Amino acid sequence: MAAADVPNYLDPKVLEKIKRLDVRARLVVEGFITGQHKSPYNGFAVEFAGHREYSPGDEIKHIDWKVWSKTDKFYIKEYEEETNLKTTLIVDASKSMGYGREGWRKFDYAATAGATLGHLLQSQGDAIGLITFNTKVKDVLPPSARHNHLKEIVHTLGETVPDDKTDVGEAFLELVPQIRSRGMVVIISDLFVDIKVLRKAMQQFRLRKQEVIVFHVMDRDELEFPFEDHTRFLGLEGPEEVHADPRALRKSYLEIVGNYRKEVGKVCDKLGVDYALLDTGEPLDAVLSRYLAFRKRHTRKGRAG
Amino acid sequence: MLELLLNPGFFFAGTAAVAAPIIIHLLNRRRFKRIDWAAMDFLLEAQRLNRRRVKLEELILLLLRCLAMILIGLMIARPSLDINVSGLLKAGQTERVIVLDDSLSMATVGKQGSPIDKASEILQKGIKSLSNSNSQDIITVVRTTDPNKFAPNGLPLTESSIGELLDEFKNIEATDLRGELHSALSNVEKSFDSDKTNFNKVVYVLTDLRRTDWESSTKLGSDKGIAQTLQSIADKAAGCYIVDLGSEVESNLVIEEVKPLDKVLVNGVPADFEVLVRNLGKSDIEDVTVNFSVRGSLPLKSKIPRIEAGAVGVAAFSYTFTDSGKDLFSAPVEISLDDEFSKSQDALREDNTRYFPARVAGGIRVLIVDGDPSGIFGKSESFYLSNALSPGGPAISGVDVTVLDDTDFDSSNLSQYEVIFIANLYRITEARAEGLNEWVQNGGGLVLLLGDQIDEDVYNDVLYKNGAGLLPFKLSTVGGDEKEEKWVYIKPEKQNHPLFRFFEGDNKQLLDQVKVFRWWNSEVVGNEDLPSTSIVIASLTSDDNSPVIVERQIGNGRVLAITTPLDNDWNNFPENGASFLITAQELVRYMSKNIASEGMISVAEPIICPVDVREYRQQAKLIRPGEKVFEEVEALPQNKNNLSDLEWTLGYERTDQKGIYEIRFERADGTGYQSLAFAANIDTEESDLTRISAASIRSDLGTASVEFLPYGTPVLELEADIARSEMWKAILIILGVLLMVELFYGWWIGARR
Repeated sequence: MAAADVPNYLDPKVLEKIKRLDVRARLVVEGFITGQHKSPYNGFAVEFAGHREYSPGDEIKHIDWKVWSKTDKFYIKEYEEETNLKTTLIVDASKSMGYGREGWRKFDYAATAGATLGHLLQSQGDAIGLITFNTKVKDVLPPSARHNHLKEIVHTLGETVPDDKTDVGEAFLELVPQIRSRGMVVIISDLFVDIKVLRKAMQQFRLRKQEVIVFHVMDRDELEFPFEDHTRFLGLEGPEEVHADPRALRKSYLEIVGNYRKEVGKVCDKLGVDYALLDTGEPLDAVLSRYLAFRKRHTRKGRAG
Repeated sequence: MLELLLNPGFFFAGTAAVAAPIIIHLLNRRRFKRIDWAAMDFLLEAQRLNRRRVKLEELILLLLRCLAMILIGLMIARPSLDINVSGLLKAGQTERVIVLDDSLSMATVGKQGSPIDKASEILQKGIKSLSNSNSQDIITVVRTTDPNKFAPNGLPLTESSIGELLDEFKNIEATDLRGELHSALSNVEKSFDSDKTNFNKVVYVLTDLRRTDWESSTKLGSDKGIAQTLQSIADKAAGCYIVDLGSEVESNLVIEEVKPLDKVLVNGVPADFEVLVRNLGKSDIEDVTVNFSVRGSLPLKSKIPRIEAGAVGVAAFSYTFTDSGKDLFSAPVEISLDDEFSKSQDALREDNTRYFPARVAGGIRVLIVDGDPSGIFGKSESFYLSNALSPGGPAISGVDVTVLDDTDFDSSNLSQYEVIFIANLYRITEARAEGLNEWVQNGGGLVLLLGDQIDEDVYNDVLYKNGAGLLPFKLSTVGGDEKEEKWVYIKPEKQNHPLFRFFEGDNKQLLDQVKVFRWWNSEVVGNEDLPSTSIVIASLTSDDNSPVIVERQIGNGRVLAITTPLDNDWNNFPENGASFLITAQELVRYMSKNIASEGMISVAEPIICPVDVREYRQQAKLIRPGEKVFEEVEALPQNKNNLSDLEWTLGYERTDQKGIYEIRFERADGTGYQSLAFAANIDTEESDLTRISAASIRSDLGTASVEFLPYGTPVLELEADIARSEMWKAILIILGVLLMVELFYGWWIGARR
């Protein structure tokens, strides 16, 4: 089979034809890995970090017996923490996430991204959890490294239907207490939320020592506003409607969207939150590489610290 | 405002069409897509920020489109301005008004052909050129010979009309008529005021620039001169051109007049004629032969040795018209200049022929009303007179005498006589006096011979009427010696009077032999209030110089009263033989009205001919010059309310051609017909080919924008030079610009979004 004939599972157009979320996720991860020169798993191998003297209370299994044999002293072998990293995926299931063409709505993109990350993380032994929300927190699956846990996560994502009006503000704040242990939080949302609420939620996460990565999902239409004819825009989440010639509003709209994104970016930057835009028209590998880069940065940070 | 539009309806349609963009806009708003939209807050914010700007932009676009619709309507409605505009605004439909001089003078022979041929060529070329350029113009032609008629009048150039016009212009010929350039121009000028259409009018005057045409206004005494009329046309028209088709001519002779020397042409009596030929050329002409041809026979010829430039030469002819049996007949005469001369030198040949109807009478018809008839030879009052007027013997006197007594006189038809003698009639009725008065007014010659029978009171009442009647004086008493032992003589008071022409010189002694024994004393009153005064031609050598012959002009005729009768009762004149006979003949000819030239008319002058329906049928036949087919004509009562009047009138107006018009009246009793000729001659004014200079006309025109075009330059083709005032092209340009602005603005606001 020629290389060109191999379907590129990172391409949204290919992926949208695959209905099962778990298959989707696996194909993305495999496709992603196939494209890398170096296996990403290398970076996640159980990595030696350093020695320290044994102190009572330490687990005996961590004693480096080779050092003892040479020095007759107990030294504890220390490893990178990431091996036990707990990552919680927070996926927005509000009604606005239902925007997009049938089979590839923003939520479908977000769910695929979430499942893909889950798949990647599980394959390297990390614990993953899932929280979905709309006006309030909907499903909560605490982080776990169990093999079946991924299936549950994928199932939950697959079953979730974006509906209800979102008052994401409240829900965001509700999310914070759901995460108890230190770890990483991956938020996949269209962030149609008041910027102050978003800032407050992010601050809360950071105060709890969470590393946060925000994937801002936007439909291509929302980013480019490509409409030409007279259109009545009906609010997905409320009774508002706008009847207009889209061409007359495009420039301002794009400016407003751009400003909002900048604002979100600024907030995230200030709080040390990683921010990435997910365009539903773009391949999903961006999510994975972004995540991996982020993770690497933080493990190095940890090592240096 | 609306009168500025050719098709005002379209303007309203355009205004109504303004609704179209609005309706389209509203329909567009009804046709829209629905999208369930997530990023509503952003959109609401964008809308809030843009609402005013978008509304303003849309309003401007809508206004531009509405304006475009109005402009389209306005363009189709074709507005025009009264002012002359040039440049971009030159466009649209034009009425080309052609004032065509087709008078006789246009037939003048020139080096490049006659002016009328040039006109034909110019018009044909122009129409072809207009048809090639798919012009929408309309054509109006006014001929100076028929200035009241516009034919064609506003004919649009279409495929069929172009053919018709070309045919018409190809066949243009100079008429025999006189041109009335000024009337034609005045009518064109009036048409500007009366015509409500808003075509641009461009006026072309095709003329040979003859002085007589261009200076006619001063002669006509019209309030506006030809120059003012042209100025006024030039002010109103989009263009005014004078096309000069004439050229200077060297020589032109014209037969100006054919003059019979006798008052009446009489059957069998030699008639003398003078033919006047004027030299209108620049140099003297020698040996001009004039032909005189009666009824198409071989011509008599007479040579005029020399006619100086500007002078008149006279050719004399004597001809005896003869016809057997008819009382009155016509013997049409054609007088022409020698053909050879016409062809070689003469510029205008059409004026080298003149026609003369030559109505020949059996004699001068004279009625003698005998107031003292008698069966005894030599005793009646009219005896001497009738014998003197119509003596027996082989020679024809040319006088046809009828003698009636007072009873017959009262019922007779006076119009058949040229001269009436009322000889010693006792009294006259009021009605008869009125009839006589009318007859004299119409040109009759009445001689009143006053003798012993006269009832002076009746004469004074009925005929004198205090100076307002026929009698030139008031009768008072009878003077002289009853025993005829004393007498007086006749003394002429007027020198060279035709009546006494015979008694001049040695013959004076013959007059001295005339003895007058008795006469009527009269009072000749000179009264300025009266229509005409009485003139004493001769008086008596009595103590009081009593008038003996008194004349008064009444209307076209005259009355002569002799205070002593022309028989041998009160004087011995009739016994004087030759002198009485000659005087009687001279008297008749003096009193007779001039009917030798009857039937002479000018071309275009209507024929008006009285018809006595007692004698002739109402219907008659007319033959036009050069034609053989009859045309039916009909006499009509002069006064429709008075059908008892049996003098009807035959009128015929189509005398547009020179030549002989012959009318045949059928006799009521079926005994044949009476033929009467009318000769229509050209107006000799047309023969004066003196040109007026363009500079002279221009100086009269002042600043008026009238352009002179010489022959050979384009005339109707001058499209580009015509300043037009129609605006549709300008509107089209504005519309184009507007649509471009709309397009650009649409693009610009689209690009800004």
